[in-house]
Amino acid sequence: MNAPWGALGVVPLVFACTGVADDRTERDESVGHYDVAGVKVDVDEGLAVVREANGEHVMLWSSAPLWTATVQGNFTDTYEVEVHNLVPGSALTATGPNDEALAVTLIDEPRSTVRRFSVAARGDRVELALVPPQSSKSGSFQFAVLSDIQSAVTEVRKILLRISDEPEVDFVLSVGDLTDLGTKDQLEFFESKLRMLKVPFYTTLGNHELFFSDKPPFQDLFGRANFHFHYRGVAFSFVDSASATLSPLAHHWLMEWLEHDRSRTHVFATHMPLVDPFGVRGGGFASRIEAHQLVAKLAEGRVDAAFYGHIHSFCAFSTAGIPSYISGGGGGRPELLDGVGRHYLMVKIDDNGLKDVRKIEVD
Amino acid sequence: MAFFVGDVPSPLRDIATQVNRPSCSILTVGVLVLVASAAQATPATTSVSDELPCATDDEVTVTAPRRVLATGLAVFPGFFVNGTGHWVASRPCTARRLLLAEGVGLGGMAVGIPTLAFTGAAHYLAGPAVLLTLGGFGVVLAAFGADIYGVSGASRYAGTPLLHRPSWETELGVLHVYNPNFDFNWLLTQRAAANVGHLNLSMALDTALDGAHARYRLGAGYRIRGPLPGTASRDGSFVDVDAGMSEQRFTGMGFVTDSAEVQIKGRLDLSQFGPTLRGAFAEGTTGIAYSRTTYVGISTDGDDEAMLLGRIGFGAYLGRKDRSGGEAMFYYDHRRDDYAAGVKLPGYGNGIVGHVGIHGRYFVSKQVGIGAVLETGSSHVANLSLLFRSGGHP
Repeated sequence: MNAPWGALGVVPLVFACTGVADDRTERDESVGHYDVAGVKVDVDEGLAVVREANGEHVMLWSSAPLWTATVQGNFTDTYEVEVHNLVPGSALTATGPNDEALAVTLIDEPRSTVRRFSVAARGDRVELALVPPQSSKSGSFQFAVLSDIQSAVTEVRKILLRISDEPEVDFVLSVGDLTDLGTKDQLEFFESKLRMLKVPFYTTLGNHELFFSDKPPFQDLFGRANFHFHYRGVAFSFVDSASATLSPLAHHWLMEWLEHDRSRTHVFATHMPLVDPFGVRGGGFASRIEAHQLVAKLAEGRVDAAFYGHIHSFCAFSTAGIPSYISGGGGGRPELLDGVGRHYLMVKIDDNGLKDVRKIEVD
Repeated sequence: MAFFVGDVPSPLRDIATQVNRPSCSILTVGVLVLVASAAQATPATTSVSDELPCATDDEVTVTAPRRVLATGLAVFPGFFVNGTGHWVASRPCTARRLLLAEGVGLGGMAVGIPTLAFTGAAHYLAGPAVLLTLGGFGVVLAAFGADIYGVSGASRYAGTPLLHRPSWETELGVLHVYNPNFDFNWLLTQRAAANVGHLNLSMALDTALDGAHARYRLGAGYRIRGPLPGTASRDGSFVDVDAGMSEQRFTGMGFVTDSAEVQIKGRLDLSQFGPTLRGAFAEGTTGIAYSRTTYVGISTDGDDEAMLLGRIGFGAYLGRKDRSGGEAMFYYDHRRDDYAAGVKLPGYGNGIVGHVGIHGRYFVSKQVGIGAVLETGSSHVANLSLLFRSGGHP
């Protein structure tokens, strides 16, 4: 949290509106879609960002462990697909316009989270699918939780290396505030730091990503602010609450995901705590009515765990019986007097529910 | 303080931790100090012959062009240096008081804001720091508004405050709330209050006309000083302590919230500041609320929360000089559990600030009046009501 800057918000109160997140959510729908100079790329559910594309090559940044996409163009030989931020060992499958399997060759692997593939493409259409290893295997797995790095981005190396050294970690889940100001330069600098992370980093955005703009560069680099995927039988829903509220469209999407995955282990992740456990501080949603409405929906949807950031500390509590964790320990200006330092969480989960949450102090 | 997986805290420990005992202790002591100070203050008298402060400022005649200039300068640079308008209008006594008030307000903010910033909004200190910031901002806002009000000559048209408190008051109205996430928009609002001596008993009921929602509140208050039924006060200043219990039933949205709260509310009639400020007032409220939210169809104990209450406002009395007509006030309210809740702004600073509003009431006769409220925050709220009262006038 960075309360003083927020206090300046009192000044332009005349410009207050209820739809501050609407435009940003609508922009989400354009993420994962690219249509320039005869090449059209459509990633289903926007689960990857099209960083660049032409008639010979496409580069994608994955927002999820697995996704499917359609690339349309004029393919006569091979087509190169470069995927960043993937689960190590992920495979790429491809089918042609007649649903025929296409040969896919791994060209190289510059880092554990980056692979370049060559697809023997013909015709005008290729269907791609990113498939992580063990994707259909049930059983428990672990992911890390790391958020609110902000100004400590220059010191994030230590945390990322510690996470990389974890014996079993499939990916890092983040709820945003990756940088202080959310500018393109800062986000690209943060992305450069992720090169020392051996597993992918899946994230929504936080309020600091909105510092200068409600059309944040975040969406061009890291993907949608609202997205949802399944991984080894567990559902993950990331939702944009950076404006201390949900837009009606984001709310609608979340309701669909909750309804669809009622019988599945479900993890909910968003930046702003719906309710601040220390209520006098008031570090949660702008409206407690909206917050409780959302909690009621999460409980009705049988969410198994909720992860939040924004508050630069750690707190484990429950809302409507849902185990909830605030973990803003990435290094942003820490909350004093709480006995909590820089940290990340290790979460063990399987398709029967949440198994364990451990806080790992770094310093 | 943190719970960890596997802990099953008792409800009391839950509430205590939610409330944050150190902040709560500071707030409680603060409220008690305010109450004790107010109680020990010199009781208001009915003598109208007491000399007003800064009486010499009232002897100055200001030409219309100078008044226009002073009003403009009260806006800018008066926004930064409160009292500029009164200086230009040759009213130095009031100008000095406004500048001093601004200094006090900025001092509060200078303590509160850095405390929040440099402690990362430490939960032990957040409550008092927010109160200092809010109170300081309120004083600055009042001084800024008072400067403009005073030099613009608005006091010539202002009404008089209610010097006798009504024996009873009722209100019947319609409220419209716009929030895309709500499942209702229109409510019927009903209020009733009885004042007996220093005591105030109140009740309120809001019921949705197009959804499954109702909200009710029972309150009891004690007026430490200020207008009372049958006893005239010198001016409109008052200090009240109020306690209330409420229930908000959002059954269509899946939850019910029960709350208890205590707050202290004070109004300062700004005629005590200077003669140019006759007809204006500043108001402040602070307190704390505890709530438990239960969820429809979910079998858990419910979620306990605390909430800091705070409200600051600047207003003016409406009507004629020979009787009280009503009042209008612009205010900021820090509470987040009502319809308006916290404002949503473009950019990054959301979740911290409450909402703003304007309320007005005007009595067209001794007993009947109309009231209106406009608020904007997470929702847009508009309320129009009929007011009835008995007493409250000579």
